Amino acid sequence: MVRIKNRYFLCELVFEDAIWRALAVNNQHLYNAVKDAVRQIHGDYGAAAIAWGLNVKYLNPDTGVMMIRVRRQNQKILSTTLPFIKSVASFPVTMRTLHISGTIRSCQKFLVKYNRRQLVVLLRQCRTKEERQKVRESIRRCTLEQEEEEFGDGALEDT
Amino acid sequence: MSGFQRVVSKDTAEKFYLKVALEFENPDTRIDSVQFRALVSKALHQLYGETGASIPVDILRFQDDTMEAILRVSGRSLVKVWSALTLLGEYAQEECAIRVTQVSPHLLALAVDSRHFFQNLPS
Repeated sequence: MVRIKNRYFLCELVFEDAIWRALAVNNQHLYNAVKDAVRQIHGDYGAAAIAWGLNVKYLNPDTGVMMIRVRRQNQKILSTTLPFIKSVASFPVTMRTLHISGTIRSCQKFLVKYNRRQLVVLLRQCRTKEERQKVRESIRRCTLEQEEEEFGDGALEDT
Repeated sequence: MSGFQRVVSKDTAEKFYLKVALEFENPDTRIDSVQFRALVSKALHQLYGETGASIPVDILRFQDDTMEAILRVSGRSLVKVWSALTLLGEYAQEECAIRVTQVSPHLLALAVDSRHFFQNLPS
């Protein structure tokens, strides 16, 4: 027996208005959006190929980051479809593929690193002193607690 | 008459030629070459979506009376076109089927059909 190999796509949902994020996103909505887009771009063949094993594994409504699982042989179908997804639950959206990997664990590692980098970006965008202080605090904490971190969203929980 | 010449192509052929015949369940149904082009395009769109619809397919000849056509496709999209044509079952609310009679990397090969060989022999 050979084990079933998967690919995990880490994507960021970029909404026009960040308020829609909490309203729109839901695992089922995302699953349907991906499936419909695949049917449109790759037809019946693509939809049938990808249907087995397609799964939205993780979704962070606060940051708009999600993880989709596909079977490895069909990763090309998904990667070519993601840029064509225009709306999720009738909210206009663009997809950014952040990372592709073979295990959830390595996705998580990447996400921790990515979120840490995003904090620096956030720091630059800060306007008031208070905000700046808050972000600084979370950067300091996530750099100190490096060893203990296990979960991808742990680094961003306090922001 | 020099007889047949055997041609062997070693590499993947750049272009493939398909001789296809269109059949409708209702034998009175007729379509013209423009509709046939739409039919091929629809078949590709149905099975392979927009990526399939973007595959270039040349219709070299379409015979209105027999509804036979010769298509030219690139070698890399042969399988897609072939399967899309085979799986087409309906066009304009009419049940239909496409029979792929001959496939060859050489257009000349379609000129001779061993199925009709004896019929065409000069008596």
